[in-house]
Amino acid sequence: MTNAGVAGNSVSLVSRLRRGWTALDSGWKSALLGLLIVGLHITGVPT
Amino acid sequence: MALGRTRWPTLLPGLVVLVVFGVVARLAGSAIPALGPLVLAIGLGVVTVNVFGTPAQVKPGLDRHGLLLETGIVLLGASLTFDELARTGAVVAALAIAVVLGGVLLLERVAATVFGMNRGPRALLASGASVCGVSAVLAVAGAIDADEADITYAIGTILLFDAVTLLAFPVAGDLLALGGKQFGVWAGLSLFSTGPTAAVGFAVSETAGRWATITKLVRNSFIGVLALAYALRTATSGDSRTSPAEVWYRFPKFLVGFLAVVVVANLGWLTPAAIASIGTTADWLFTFAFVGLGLEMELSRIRDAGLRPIALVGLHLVTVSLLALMAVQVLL
Repeated sequence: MTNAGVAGNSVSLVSRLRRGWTALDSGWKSALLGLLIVGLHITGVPT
Repeated sequence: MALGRTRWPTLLPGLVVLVVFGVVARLAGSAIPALGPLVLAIGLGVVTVNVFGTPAQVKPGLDRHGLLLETGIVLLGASLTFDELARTGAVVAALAIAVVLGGVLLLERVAATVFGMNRGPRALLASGASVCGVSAVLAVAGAIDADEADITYAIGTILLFDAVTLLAFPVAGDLLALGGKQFGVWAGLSLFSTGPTAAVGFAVSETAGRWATITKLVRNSFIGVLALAYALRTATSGDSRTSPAEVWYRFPKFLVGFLAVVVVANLGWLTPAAIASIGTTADWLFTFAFVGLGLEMELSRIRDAGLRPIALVGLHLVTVSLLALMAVQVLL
């Protein structure tokens, strides 16, 4: 795949993630954010 | 993509206000320990909105304070152990169920027989006072297709009591010399909205804050069932929004995240340092969220409440909080 193709795919993935996030219920967003923060602590990523 | 680009600039001004006020509240709170950062965060918000108002540009960002509050609650799950829940969880759950069922039936009955209110406002006030404040009012309003005027009155009444209880409960807790857990469960059983309940609890102590929030979450989980019950009642008079999926639709989804974090914490995947760090993150999120909560407390909205709803909900609050106080003193 060309560099432009890879860039296009990642843009499309980011775009889909953004659209999915926007469509989510606020409660699910809170649940995912909370789990993300806990996950970062488990993996030792500084927060 | 375009949506993603346009939303952030819209949200940014309000989020900056929440963060700046939150940092000020935490700095001032460490200088004035008697008040603490969370009470100062709400106070800063209340004073600002009623003296200066809030420009339209900051409102979209300020509206995100609910997301921050719920994320903070999800993180509280990291400091809960199954042992702790097993010891008193059943008692707290039973009390919360009693408050929801008893509270709805009591308020409906008194509203109909003593105050002569119609079904719509009765349902809105009963759900707001017994389950989870303004969000319950809005959920049930959607289920019964309530009048705009009834919704405004109900929200004004709930906000008025949120403000009163925010000030009164910490003072009452001091006078009654309750333990942290007793006070927290009492507040969690008695107060209306989740934000003020958590704020009141944490204003007293860390333990009180955790138990106030957990107890309130048990009550909140009934919102779907209550919305369905009211929709079913309304269906007998022609409305047909009675799908069982309504229960799940109205269910506060962040509770799923909270329970998942409780499970993760109890699997032993978090070190004590990580649990402390998650607790600090939750504290910051609560501070930002409470600034937003204060900024929502406009006196003009509270003035929208009528005298009859205020008398009815005041009676409900006094009755439920006295019964809850006796229960926590005997059972906890």
